[in-house]
Amino acid sequence: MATSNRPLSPHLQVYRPQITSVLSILHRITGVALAVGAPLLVWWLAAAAVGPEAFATVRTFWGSWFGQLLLLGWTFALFYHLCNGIRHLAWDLGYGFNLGTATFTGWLVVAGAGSLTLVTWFFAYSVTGAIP
Amino acid sequence: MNDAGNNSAQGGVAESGVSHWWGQRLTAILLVPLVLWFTASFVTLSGAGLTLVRQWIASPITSLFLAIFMAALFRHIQLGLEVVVDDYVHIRTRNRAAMASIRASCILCTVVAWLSILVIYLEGRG
Repeated sequence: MATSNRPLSPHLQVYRPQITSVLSILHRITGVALAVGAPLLVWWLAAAAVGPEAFATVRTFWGSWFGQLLLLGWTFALFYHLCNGIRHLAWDLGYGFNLGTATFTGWLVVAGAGSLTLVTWFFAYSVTGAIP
Repeated sequence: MNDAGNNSAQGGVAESGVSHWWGQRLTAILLVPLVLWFTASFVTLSGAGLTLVRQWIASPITSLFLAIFMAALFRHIQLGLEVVVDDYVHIRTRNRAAMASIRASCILCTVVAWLSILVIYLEGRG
């Protein structure tokens, strides 16, 4: 334990943020955010199993402005993590390591996640007026 | 000794680094279609009442897919959070405590999800 306060790499503060590094940490941040949100999905399932009163509570919460804001954030986090996860899987197969390619696919992921979020919310509101 | 080094030498995030790496990738691949399917269904169900939601869950295909989705999701979450904890929590006792609570929470979430799906499925049959 004597050396446990040794500096550990990477020394993020000495790097200028770049699209690739920002998206890399965003993958982790969205992953943790989604992990926090996932139990609420279980809450939704459990409430549906328990009965009308429990389910009504869930719907009231998600229908509130705070619930809708959370859902919007999680929708983007989900699509970002999904798109960037596919980018990661491509890297695992050995594709896309070229610096120019990595920058391009990075912006592609941002555009993809943004459009998927917009499309999802457009459909949700055009079909019924709210999620869920 | 540095605890970070210690971890990787003695198993680190899981029993084996290789199985951990593969577990994260396999659940990721499984989750791609499942997440798209679930999100599309969830959006379609938006505004629907309990009866409709239960009807959807109770169908054999949906309940099966949902059960797989929940298991893959919480396994993926467990593996991901373990990596994050191993990266930032280097004090051994805290690292172990965090790992144990992540594992317990993910198992609990999966079990509660499965029970809920099972209850709705069986009520749909009866």
